[in-house]
Parts: sequence; structure tokens; C-alpha cells
Amino acid sequence: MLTKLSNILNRVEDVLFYIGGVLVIFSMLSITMEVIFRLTSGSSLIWVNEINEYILLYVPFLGAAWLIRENGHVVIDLIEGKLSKTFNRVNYILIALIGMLICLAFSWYGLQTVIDSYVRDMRSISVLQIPQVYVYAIIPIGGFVMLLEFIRMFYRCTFGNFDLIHGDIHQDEKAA
Amino acid sequence: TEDTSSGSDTSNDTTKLKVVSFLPMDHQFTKDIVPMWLEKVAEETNGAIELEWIGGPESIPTEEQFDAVTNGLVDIGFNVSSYYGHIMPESHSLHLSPFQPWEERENGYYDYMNGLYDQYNMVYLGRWLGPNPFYFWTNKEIGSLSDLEGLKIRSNPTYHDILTAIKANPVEVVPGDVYTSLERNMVDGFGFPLLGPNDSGWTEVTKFIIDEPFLNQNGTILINKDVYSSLSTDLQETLVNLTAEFEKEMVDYFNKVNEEEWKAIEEAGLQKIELSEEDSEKFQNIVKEVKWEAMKETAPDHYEELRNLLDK
Amino acid sequence: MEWWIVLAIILVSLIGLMLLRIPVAFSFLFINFIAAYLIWGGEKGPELLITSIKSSLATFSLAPIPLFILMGEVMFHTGVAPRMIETVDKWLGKLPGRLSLLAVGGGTLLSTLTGSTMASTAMLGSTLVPNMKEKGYGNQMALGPILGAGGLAVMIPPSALGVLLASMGKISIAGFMIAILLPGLILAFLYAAYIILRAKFQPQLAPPYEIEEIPLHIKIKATLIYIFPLSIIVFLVIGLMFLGIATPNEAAAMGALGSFVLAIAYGQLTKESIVKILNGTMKISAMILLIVAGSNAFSQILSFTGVSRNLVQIIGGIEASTYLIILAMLLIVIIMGSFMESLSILMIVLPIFIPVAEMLGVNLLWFATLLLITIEIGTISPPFGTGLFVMKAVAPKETKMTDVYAASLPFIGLNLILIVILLAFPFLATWLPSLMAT
Ligand code: NA
Ligand code: NA
Repeated sequence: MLTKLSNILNRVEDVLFYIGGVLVIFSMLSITMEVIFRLTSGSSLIWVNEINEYILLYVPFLGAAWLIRENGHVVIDLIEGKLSKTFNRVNYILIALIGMLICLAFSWYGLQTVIDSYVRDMRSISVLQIPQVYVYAIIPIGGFVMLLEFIRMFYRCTFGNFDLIHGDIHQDEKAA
Repeated sequence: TEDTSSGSDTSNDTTKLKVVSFLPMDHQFTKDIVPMWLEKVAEETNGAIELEWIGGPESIPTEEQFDAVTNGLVDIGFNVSSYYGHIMPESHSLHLSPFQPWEERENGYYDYMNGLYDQYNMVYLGRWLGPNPFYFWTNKEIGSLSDLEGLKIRSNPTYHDILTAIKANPVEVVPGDVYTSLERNMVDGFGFPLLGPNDSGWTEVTKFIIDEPFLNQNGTILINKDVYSSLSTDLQETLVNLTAEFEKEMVDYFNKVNEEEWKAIEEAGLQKIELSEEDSEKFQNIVKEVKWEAMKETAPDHYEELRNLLDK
Repeated sequence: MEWWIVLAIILVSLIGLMLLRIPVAFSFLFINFIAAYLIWGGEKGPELLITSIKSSLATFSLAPIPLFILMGEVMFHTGVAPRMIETVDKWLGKLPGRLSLLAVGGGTLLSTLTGSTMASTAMLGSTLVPNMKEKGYGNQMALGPILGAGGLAVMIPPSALGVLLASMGKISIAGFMIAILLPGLILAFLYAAYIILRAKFQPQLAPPYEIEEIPLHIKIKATLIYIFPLSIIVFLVIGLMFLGIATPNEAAAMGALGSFVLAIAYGQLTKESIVKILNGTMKISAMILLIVAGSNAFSQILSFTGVSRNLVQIIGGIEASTYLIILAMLLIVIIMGSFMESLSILMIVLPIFIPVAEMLGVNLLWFATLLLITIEIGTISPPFGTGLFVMKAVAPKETKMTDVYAASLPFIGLNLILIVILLAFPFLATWLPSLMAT
């Protein structure tokens, strides 16, 4: 059961992560298109700037949970290797707990902001007037998936096989 | 539901309040005028209110400053309706007032607006940016209004519907790219008040300014209502009165600054273009029409009343 | 609370969290949420933090960051980069310290195509070190030049870190990309000169070896195929920005697209490589942007509480020459660099240093160039420079960390010389940008 849930989480993280990658490609294509359009027709595509700004918000929130799983976030590692295994385990539990708190805040306050911008029908201060609810939505979504990832980390450090944290975490699900 | 205990800070206590502005502290629009108001408050309240200007967007992002005053994160905001009209559409009517600030206090517009700001938990103290109407600046010589047709003009929501109505092409350019796009003729011009373009160096790559000012400035000094209510009635009155006085000094100040700015702009080699009387009237009517039309759509409940108050 | 107590609490907890191995981005975010709650006032504080994160990320000036990264990933995963180094190899004759010079030459070319020091160091290390070892090169001449050359990636445009620095410091991004170009090239020349001298005086560190004579037509052919097309991409990025035809975003987008076109032309854009490209791009972009999300609000909080203003005022009141204050700031960055990672240093010091530099009235392009060099020194300075670990990872098994440390020292010295040169001749950073707008 837990393995299955864990596999689903992996799948979700992978999908979000690669959507982010595709958005960067889209960013490249749309900006180039804008240049060509401007040089040929003389007028510019008004949506390009704004959409690309939103991509910059989407990219980190789409990729963050995947990065936690793959140990891809920047860490200042001064104490790694100098600690006993028990201390290491406690350290990881602490990291997971703090991570969970932050991601709870992302999910909760992000959701408040999403609801608020929906209720007040907030639009961007631009010609496009894009409803901001779509923009903010990625924060609680990304925050929630990150929360699940930290919960998994917490579970493994507390009850599970701690060695998996150091190795490639998702290896075990693939094997399972 | 007001906190009655806070009514105690009347005579010898000082109330410390935080002030935020929508532009950085060293901007032409803020650098003199905000301190002018701050000093006036310190003087007239005999130090009963102590203000701290915590800065501009580097402290709170511009787009969040309106909510920040509503929620009491800061106490007083120097803002423009361009950055909160999406939350409070009626505030765009500030643009449409043909009156001086003190006339607005006489004819009921000020009070009416105060009623509206009340719904956002704020008290409207007064204006702080006038007179600073908007202009179109171009690189093409314009003989008549119809010459603007088809030109690519750097725009933002303030100008967008006006440009569309006069059949120009609005183009969106981020502030950092305006210089280059003017230089490379990616745009033929832009809309902006008198102050700003010369400071940003845009006038180096601009040839003309159409001397046809349109719309009123839309700067407001707003104070959080809970904070305002916690002040003694005396202090409340003092704040309102001193801001009314300030508005006159502020207009004098900007008149002087603008006069100098005209000289600087002409020294930068820009040529003033005047529209014919007929074109001028036509243009002003177009501006008025599109803006009121937008008001009717976004703030239908207040449209009639606002129009009555502001139609001269 | 006094502002300096606020500052002390914030800094101590931030660094404490980081030392506990909380990822840098999350350390910032944790402090932010708590400070937002306490300082911005209750429930509404964290909500403002959410909107603040959105406005700091959804900023068009950051758009070149993922695009520059994408461009580098395409270069690495489609084999364009190693072929380019092979081609440079063909041209180099029998020179003292030949392979070390190849590292610098190849690294310089590579820097015009990628903006990430880590990737560049890994790439140069894994392709060149085995060969160097085989030819009997000492660690000093094998590891050092690669560490140094890897750092050129951020000193020559495109530079993701440079974009971030300019964007946070509110300096023209195009201007800054052009400003770092000359100092970056000077650094490459310093490296080359040092290598030649050292190889002359200590030939045992870089023993000369027989090289195969390569016919001219093969050299020319390889150049036409593998180097000439790259110049088009370099033009798309640096040239278009310099000429003011394209904004940095547009230049980055076209550079990335150009590298895709090139990969297709070489027949190297496979399904596999596309996955690797997306993967690498997302990994680095998401990591950088999440740190930006954490740190922007951090600087707003510092500013809101008056910490920034007070600190700037105090530094302004110090009776010291402008140069002394600048030197002090650079020294702080260099010290931080030896145990912290580049991005986090930028995020902590910029909100304070840029206002100070503005107040001192120095040229910001110049000052930012100096900052970028010191940041770069941090990636190769012992004990914890990230470049050192990358180097260790790709070097042969028997290489000890102390070998890597020793090899890095002369190249840190060369970077310091570059700083002295720039302090003496600021026009090296300001001259090219001044030609741009006309
Ligand atoms: Na580079
Ligand atoms: Na470092």
C-alpha cells in the first residue's frame, strides 16, 4: 500500500517536473516567435512578456518536489560524514520536519491567496488582465506535493530504511 | 468593534506609524514630496505622531501595497490607483477629475471617495501627485490627431484603450527595454507624465512631446482605518486638515518642478507639438468617453454618482 | 526591537539552519515565513509573503536564466562541447603545458556557450584529466587549470549568475553581460600566461610529449564544422545584445534555439538527449529560482524592518575611503565564499552591498563585476568551494582532496590579480558597455 502511494507520488513529481521543462522550451519558442513577428509585421505579441513571467513562477514550484527527492537542492554540507549514523538520522528528521512546516505554510497560505484572488476576481495590472487565480494556483499545488515529499522523508527516517535517504531514494520503488 | 483602550494615546504618548510609497525613496515623484508631508505631520501634531518611511517596492512589492494598508501591515500608503484599480475599480475615477484637490473637497468628490475607501478599511487623506497629467511622446512628427493612427506606442492599461480608440497600436515593453526599443524604432513613442522620461534618459532617443495633457494624476495618501480610529478626534482632524493644506503646497511644488522639467526637456532637444483646437477637443472627448465607458463596466454601482460629481 | 538585534537574530538563525543541512532555499523560506508572521503582522504576513514570492519570480528580467541554462544543457548533451574541445586540441602545437592550455582555451570557448561553472568544470575535468594523467601531468597543472577555466563560465556571457546579480542589483542586464566580457577574457589570458611560465620553469609538472601531426585541411574542416557554427550562436547571444538589437531575454531565447538547430544539424538531437536536456534544465533552473523566491522576500523583510537602511547609514558614516569600503565588501564575499555556495552569498549580501555602492557613487557595472569575480573565487576556494568537490568527483580515484586544494591556490591568486587590475583600471569593465547605447 505504502509502496503504491510512494510510486504514485513519484509519478506525479515526474510529470510536474517535465511539464516545467516543456514550459522552458515554450518560453524559448514564444520569445523567438515574438522577435520574428515584430521584425516582419512591425507589431508585437502582447501576451509573450506576461506569459513568460508566469513561467518563471511555475518552473521552481513544478520542479521543487522532484529536486527534494533527488537531493538536488543546494545544501551547505559542512557536517556530512562527520556525524554518527544516529545523529545523521536525527538531522534528517529535523530537515523533514522543517520542510513539512514550510510546505504546510505554502499549501495553506497559498490556498488562502488563491481563494482571495478568486473571490475578488483579481486580474493582472496589464492589458491582458489575466485572472491571478491561475497564476497563484501553482504555489499551493507545488507546496502540497513538496509537503508529501517531506512526509515521505520523515517516514523513512523515523520508521523506514534510513540508508535509502543517502542512496537514490526512488530506486527502491522501481525495484519494488 | 473598535478597541476603546487605544483611545488613551492622546496627549503625551506618541503613535509610531509606518509609511510606504509605491516608488523608491529617490524617485522624482517621491523624494521631496513624501518628506514634505512627513514634516508637516511632525510639526502640526507636535510630535504626537511619529512617522517612519520604510521605503518603496524594496520593502513591500508595489502591487501588494494597497492590501498592506488595508490589513494594517503598514499604516499609511502613498500609492496610485493604477496599482490598485484592479482591486477597487471606482478608484480609477481619480483620473477623470477635472478639479483641483481643494475643489474636490468642496464639491463632495473627496467625501464620496472616502466612503468608498472605507469599505477597504482605509481613510482617504488626500492627493499627493498633482498636477501631473499624462502626455504622449513620439518620434514621428504629428500634424494632426489622425497622424497617430497606426503608430506603435508603448502602452500600459492607462493608455491602452485610449490608443485603441485613436487607432494607434499599443505595444507592451518592460521599463528596462524602453530606451532600446525607442532607439531601434521598435516603438514610435510612449505615454508618460512629464516627470520621468528625462530622468530615465528616454528623452535622448525621443524627438517630440505632444502638448496635449490628458487625465488627472491619481496619487492617494491612504491610512489604515483601525489606526486612524485609534487616534484622538483632535489628531484625526489635524491629519485631514494638514493634508488639505499640504495639497496646495504640493501643487505649487509640482508646478515649479514641471516648469523646470519643460526647460530640461527642451534642452534635451525635444520639440513641443500642439494639436489644433478642434483635434484637442476631439481627443479630450475620446479620452473621457473610453474611460467613463470602462468605469460603467467595472463599477456600475457608482458610475452615475461619480459622473455627476466629476462632470464639469 | 533594535534593528541590529533583528539583524543578528535573522542572520544567526539563517546560517544555523543552513549548517543543519536545511537546503538553502528552504532556510530562507523558513526564516521568511516566521519573520512575515512576526514582523508583517499575524495571519496576513504569510499571505503577503506568497504574493511577494509571486511578484519576485514573475519578473521578465529573470527570463534569461532558464534559457541560458537550457542552452548549455543542449551543448553538453548533444556532444557539441566535447567536439569543440577536440577541435581546439587539433590546433594546439607543441606548447609548454599543452593540455593545461587546452583546458583554458577550451574552457574559454565553452564559456561563450554555457553559464554554469559546475557543468563546465565537470565537462572539462572528465574529458581532460585522464589524458593529462596519462601524459604524466602533475596535479598542479592538471586540476588547477580546469578549476580556473570552469569558473570562466560565469565570467563570460552567457552567465546565469550574472543575470541574477544584475537583476537583483537593478543594473542593466545587457550592460552587465557586456561588462564582464573583457575581465573574463583577461582572466583567461592570465591563466594561459601563468601556465606557460610554470611549465617552462617546472617542466616535470607538464612533461612535453610527441603530438601527432595533423594535416591542415583536417584542422580546417573540423573548425568549419565544429567551431564556426558556434560563432553564430555566440553572435546571437553576445552580438545581438551588444548591438542593442535584442533584449537579453530575446538573445537568450535565440541562443537556445540556435543551439537546438545546431544539435539537429549534427544529427545529435535524439529522444534520449532531449530528456537529458529537459532534466538538466529543470534541475538547475528550479533550484536557482526557488532560492530567488526565498531570498527576495528576505531582502524585503530586511528592508521593512529598517535593517538595510540602518546598515547602509552606518557604513556611510564610516570615515574610510571608498576603496577601503569596497575592499572590505569584497573581502567579506571571499571569506563567505570559502564555506558557502555562490547563490546564497549573492542573496545575503546584495540587498546591503548594492545600496552601499549606490551611496558611494561608484559605477555599478564595475562594482558588480568585482562582486562576480569574488563569487567565482568562492567556488574554487578551500575548504568548501563547490567547484572543488565537482573536481574531486571527476578526477581519478587516487586524487586526494588536499591535492585539489593545493591546485586551486595559484588560480585563486590569479583571480585576485584580476581584482587588483580592475580596481586600478575600472574602464576595463565600463568601456565596452559605454559603446553599446550609441
Ligand atoms: Na558563460
Ligand atoms: Na563557495
